[in-house]
Amino acid sequence: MSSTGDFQKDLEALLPNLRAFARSLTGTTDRADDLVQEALVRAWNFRDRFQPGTNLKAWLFTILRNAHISERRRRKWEVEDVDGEYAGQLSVSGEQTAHMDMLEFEAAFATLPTDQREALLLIGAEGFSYEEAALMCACAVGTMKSRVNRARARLASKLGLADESDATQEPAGASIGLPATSASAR
Amino acid sequence: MSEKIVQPPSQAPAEVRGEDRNDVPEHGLDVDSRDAIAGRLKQLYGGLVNEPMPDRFKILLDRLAGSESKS
Repeated sequence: MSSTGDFQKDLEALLPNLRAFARSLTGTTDRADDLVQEALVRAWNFRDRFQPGTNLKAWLFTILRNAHISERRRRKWEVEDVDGEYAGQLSVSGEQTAHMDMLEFEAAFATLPTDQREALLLIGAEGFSYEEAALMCACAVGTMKSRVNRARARLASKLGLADESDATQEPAGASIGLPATSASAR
Repeated sequence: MSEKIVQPPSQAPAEVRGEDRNDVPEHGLDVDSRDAIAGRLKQLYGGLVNEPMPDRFKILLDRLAGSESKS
Protein backbone atom coordinates (compact mmCIF):
# COMPACT_ATOMS: atom_id res chain seq x y z
CA MET A 1 0.00 0.00 0.00
CA SER A 2 1.44 3.43 -0.98
CA SER A 3 2.53 5.74 1.77
CA THR A 4 0.74 8.93 2.73
CA GLY A 5 3.50 10.92 1.10
CA ASP A 6 3.15 9.00 -2.14
CA PHE A 7 -0.60 9.47 -2.09
CA GLN A 8 -0.17 13.19 -1.59
CA LYS A 9 2.26 13.36 -4.49
CA ASP A 10 -0.10 11.37 -6.69
CA LEU A 11 -2.93 13.77 -5.88
CA GLU A 12 -0.77 16.80 -6.60
CA ALA A 13 0.20 15.36 -9.98
CA LEU A 14 -3.48 15.14 -10.90
CA LEU A 15 -4.35 18.65 -9.78
CA PRO A 16 -4.06 20.37 -13.19
CA ASN A 17 -6.46 17.97 -14.83
CA LEU A 18 -8.75 17.87 -11.84
CA ARG A 19 -8.95 21.65 -11.79
CA ALA A 20 -9.53 21.80 -15.53
CA PHE A 21 -12.39 19.35 -15.20
CA ALA A 22 -13.83 21.36 -12.31
CA ARG A 23 -13.55 24.55 -14.34
CA SER A 24 -15.35 22.88 -17.22
CA LEU A 25 -18.14 21.68 -14.96
CA THR A 26 -18.69 24.84 -12.97
CA GLY A 27 -17.72 27.54 -15.44
CA THR A 28 -16.09 29.75 -12.83
CA THR A 29 -12.64 29.69 -11.26
CA ASP A 30 -13.88 30.35 -7.74
CA ARG A 31 -16.45 27.58 -7.76
CA ALA A 32 -14.03 25.22 -9.47
CA ASP A 33 -11.33 25.80 -6.89
CA ASP A 34 -13.78 25.27 -4.06
CA LEU A 35 -14.89 22.07 -5.74
CA VAL A 36 -11.33 20.86 -6.13
CA GLN A 37 -10.68 21.60 -2.49
CA GLU A 38 -13.78 19.67 -1.47
CA ALA A 39 -12.70 16.75 -3.65
CA LEU A 40 -9.21 16.71 -2.19
CA VAL A 41 -10.53 16.65 1.36
CA ARG A 42 -12.91 13.81 0.51
CA ALA A 43 -10.18 11.90 -1.30
CA TRP A 44 -7.87 12.28 1.66
CA ASN A 45 -10.51 11.21 4.16
CA PHE A 46 -11.47 8.19 2.07
CA ARG A 47 -8.03 7.23 0.81
CA ASP A 48 -8.24 3.89 2.61
CA ARG A 49 -10.99 2.97 0.16
CA PHE A 50 -8.73 3.48 -2.83
CA GLN A 51 -7.10 0.30 -4.08
CA PRO A 52 -3.48 0.97 -5.12
CA GLY A 53 -2.88 -0.11 -8.66
CA THR A 54 -6.31 0.96 -9.82
CA ASN A 55 -7.10 4.16 -11.63
CA LEU A 56 -6.52 6.99 -9.14
CA LYS A 57 -7.45 9.60 -11.72
CA ALA A 58 -10.83 8.01 -12.36
CA TRP A 59 -11.38 7.65 -8.62
CA LEU A 60 -10.51 11.26 -7.97
CA PHE A 61 -12.63 12.53 -10.85
CA THR A 62 -15.55 10.52 -9.56
CA ILE A 63 -15.19 12.14 -6.15
CA LEU A 64 -15.10 15.58 -7.73
CA ARG A 65 -18.10 14.80 -9.89
CA ASN A 66 -20.07 13.58 -6.89
CA ALA A 67 -19.13 16.71 -4.97
CA HIS A 68 -20.32 18.81 -7.88
CA ILE A 69 -23.64 17.00 -7.98
CA SER A 70 -24.08 17.50 -4.24
CA GLU A 71 -23.33 21.17 -4.61
CA ARG A 72 -25.78 21.56 -7.45
CA ARG A 73 -28.49 19.90 -5.42
CA ARG A 74 -27.80 22.32 -2.62
CA ARG A 75 -27.86 25.25 -4.99
CA LYS A 76 -30.67 23.79 -7.08
CA TRP A 77 -29.52 25.33 -10.25
CA GLU A 78 -28.40 24.16 -13.63
CA VAL A 79 -25.86 25.82 -15.85
CA GLU A 80 -28.18 26.98 -18.56
CA ASP A 81 -25.95 29.27 -20.46
CA VAL A 82 -28.52 31.01 -22.55
CA ASP A 83 -26.63 34.28 -22.62
CA GLY A 84 -23.16 32.82 -22.90
CA GLU A 85 -22.16 33.78 -19.39
CA TYR A 86 -20.72 30.31 -18.73
CA ALA A 87 -18.66 30.46 -21.88
CA GLY A 88 -17.24 33.81 -20.98
CA GLN A 89 -16.16 32.58 -17.60
CA LEU A 90 -14.66 29.40 -19.00
CA SER A 91 -12.41 31.21 -21.43
CA VAL A 92 -8.72 31.19 -20.82
CA SER A 93 -6.83 34.43 -21.33
CA GLY A 94 -7.48 36.32 -24.50
CA GLU A 95 -3.91 35.85 -25.70
CA GLN A 96 -4.36 32.10 -25.75
CA THR A 97 -7.79 32.00 -27.37
CA ALA A 98 -7.65 34.91 -29.72
CA HIS A 99 -9.16 33.12 -32.64
CA MET A 100 -12.83 33.62 -33.24
CA ASP A 101 -13.30 29.95 -34.00
CA MET A 102 -12.19 29.05 -30.50
CA LEU A 103 -14.53 31.62 -28.99
CA GLU A 104 -17.27 30.19 -31.14
CA PHE A 105 -16.41 26.72 -29.96
CA GLU A 106 -16.47 27.78 -26.33
CA ALA A 107 -19.89 29.35 -26.78
CA ALA A 108 -21.19 26.22 -28.50
CA PHE A 109 -19.65 24.01 -25.83
CA ALA A 110 -21.42 25.99 -23.14
CA THR A 111 -24.81 25.24 -24.68
CA LEU A 112 -24.39 21.50 -24.28
CA PRO A 113 -26.55 19.85 -21.65
CA THR A 114 -24.56 19.07 -18.54
CA ASP A 115 -24.45 15.31 -19.09
CA GLN A 116 -23.24 15.70 -22.66
CA ARG A 117 -20.63 18.27 -21.73
CA GLU A 118 -19.37 16.05 -18.94
CA ALA A 119 -19.29 12.99 -21.22
CA LEU A 120 -17.34 14.84 -23.89
CA LEU A 121 -14.85 16.10 -21.35
CA LEU A 122 -14.22 12.68 -19.88
CA ILE A 123 -13.95 10.90 -23.22
CA GLY A 124 -12.71 13.54 -25.62
CA ALA A 125 -10.57 15.69 -23.35
CA GLU A 126 -9.39 13.44 -20.56
CA GLY A 127 -9.14 10.24 -22.56
CA PHE A 128 -11.09 7.94 -20.28
CA SER A 129 -12.61 4.90 -21.93
CA TYR A 130 -16.35 4.67 -22.32
CA GLU A 131 -16.36 1.96 -19.69
CA GLU A 132 -14.45 4.10 -17.21
CA ALA A 133 -16.56 7.17 -17.87
CA ALA A 134 -19.78 5.17 -17.56
CA LEU A 135 -18.66 3.85 -14.18
CA MET A 136 -17.74 7.33 -13.03
CA CYS A 137 -21.10 8.72 -14.11
CA ALA A 138 -23.10 5.71 -12.92
CA CYS A 139 -24.67 5.12 -16.29
CA ALA A 140 -24.65 2.43 -18.95
CA VAL A 141 -21.85 2.35 -21.49
CA GLY A 142 -24.36 2.83 -24.26
CA THR A 143 -25.72 5.89 -22.55
CA MET A 144 -22.24 7.34 -22.31
CA LYS A 145 -21.60 6.67 -25.99
CA SER A 146 -24.89 8.28 -26.87
CA ARG A 147 -24.12 11.36 -24.81
CA VAL A 148 -20.75 11.76 -26.52
CA ASN A 149 -22.25 11.27 -29.94
CA ARG A 150 -24.99 13.78 -29.25
CA ALA A 151 -22.52 16.27 -27.86
CA ARG A 152 -20.33 16.00 -30.93
CA ALA A 153 -23.33 16.21 -33.20
CA ARG A 154 -24.65 19.29 -31.46
CA LEU A 155 -21.28 20.99 -31.59
CA ALA A 156 -20.89 20.13 -35.25
CA SER A 157 -24.29 21.58 -35.94
CA LYS A 158 -23.65 24.79 -34.00
CA LEU A 159 -20.29 25.22 -35.66
CA GLY A 160 -21.79 24.66 -39.07
CA LEU A 161 -19.85 21.48 -39.66
CA ALA A 162 -22.83 19.17 -40.00
CA ASP A 163 -26.56 19.02 -39.63
CA GLU A 164 -27.41 17.81 -36.12
CA SER A 165 -30.22 15.53 -37.28
CA ASP A 166 -27.96 13.80 -39.77
CA ALA A 167 -25.13 13.45 -37.31
CA THR A 168 -27.17 11.58 -34.70
CA GLN A 169 -28.68 9.00 -37.03
CA GLU A 170 -27.66 5.42 -36.49
CA PRO A 171 -28.10 2.60 -38.97
CA ALA A 172 -30.91 0.16 -38.36
CA GLY A 173 -29.96 -2.54 -35.88
CA ALA A 174 -26.88 -0.74 -34.63
CA SER A 175 -25.75 -2.30 -31.40
CA ILE A 176 -24.93 -0.11 -28.47
CA GLY A 177 -23.03 -2.95 -26.90
CA LEU A 178 -25.36 -3.51 -23.97
CA PRO A 179 -27.65 -6.28 -22.84
CA ALA A 180 -31.35 -5.64 -23.35
CA THR A 181 -31.95 -4.80 -19.70
CA SER A 182 -29.59 -1.82 -19.73
CA ALA A 183 -30.91 1.73 -19.77
CA SER A 184 -31.70 2.96 -23.21
CA ALA A 185 -29.35 5.46 -24.70
CA ARG A 186 -30.35 9.05 -24.22
CA MET B 1 -24.01 12.00 4.16
CA SER B 2 -22.12 8.80 3.38
CA GLU B 3 -19.70 8.93 0.52
CA LYS B 4 -20.36 6.52 -2.27
CA ILE B 5 -17.06 5.89 -3.92
CA VAL B 6 -17.15 3.93 -7.12
CA GLN B 7 -14.06 1.76 -7.36
CA PRO B 8 -12.62 2.43 -10.79
CA PRO B 9 -11.56 -0.40 -13.08
CA SER B 10 -7.95 -1.42 -13.08
CA GLN B 11 -5.56 0.59 -15.18
CA ALA B 12 -6.13 -0.36 -18.78
CA PRO B 13 -3.19 -1.90 -20.59
CA ALA B 14 -1.28 0.48 -22.79
CA GLU B 15 -2.48 -1.06 -26.00
CA VAL B 16 -6.10 -0.19 -25.33
CA ARG B 17 -5.50 3.40 -24.35
CA GLY B 18 -6.03 6.21 -26.76
CA GLU B 19 -8.55 6.66 -29.50
CA ASP B 20 -8.87 3.02 -30.56
CA ARG B 21 -10.86 1.81 -27.61
CA ASN B 22 -13.31 4.68 -28.02
CA ASP B 23 -13.57 4.36 -31.76
CA VAL B 24 -17.33 4.41 -32.02
CA PRO B 25 -18.63 5.04 -35.47
CA GLU B 26 -20.57 8.29 -35.45
CA HIS B 27 -22.82 7.93 -38.40
CA GLY B 28 -23.45 11.22 -40.15
CA LEU B 29 -20.48 13.00 -38.59
CA ASP B 30 -17.60 12.96 -41.04
CA VAL B 31 -14.03 12.47 -39.96
CA ASP B 32 -13.07 16.08 -40.63
CA SER B 33 -15.88 17.39 -38.43
CA ARG B 34 -15.03 14.98 -35.68
CA ASP B 35 -11.36 15.93 -35.88
CA ALA B 36 -12.19 19.63 -35.87
CA ILE B 37 -14.25 19.25 -32.72
CA ALA B 38 -11.60 17.08 -31.08
CA GLY B 39 -8.90 19.60 -31.87
CA ARG B 40 -10.80 22.55 -30.49
CA LEU B 41 -11.84 20.64 -27.39
CA LYS B 42 -8.25 19.66 -26.69
CA GLN B 43 -7.12 23.25 -27.24
CA LEU B 44 -9.77 24.61 -24.92
CA TYR B 45 -9.16 21.99 -22.29
CA GLY B 46 -5.41 22.14 -22.65
CA GLY B 47 -5.51 25.82 -21.84
CA LEU B 48 -7.34 25.06 -18.63
CA VAL B 49 -4.90 22.29 -17.68
CA ASN B 50 -1.95 24.59 -18.21
CA GLU B 51 -3.29 27.46 -16.14
CA PRO B 52 -1.12 28.50 -13.20
CA MET B 53 -2.00 26.46 -10.14
CA PRO B 54 -2.83 28.39 -6.98
CA ASP B 55 -0.97 27.44 -3.81
CA ARG B 56 -4.07 26.63 -1.83
CA PHE B 57 -4.22 22.98 -2.88
CA LYS B 58 -0.63 22.18 -2.01
CA ILE B 59 -1.10 24.01 1.27
CA LEU B 60 -4.25 22.02 1.95
CA LEU B 61 -2.61 18.67 1.23
CA ASP B 62 0.40 19.59 3.35
CA ARG B 63 -1.94 20.47 6.18
CA LEU B 64 -3.91 17.23 5.82
CA ALA B 65 -0.74 15.19 5.77
CA GLY B 66 0.78 17.18 8.61
CA SER B 67 -2.21 16.90 10.89
CA GLU B 68 -2.22 13.17 10.34
CA SER B 69 1.44 12.74 11.19
CA LYS B 70 0.89 14.52 14.48
CA SER B 71 -1.97 12.25 15.53
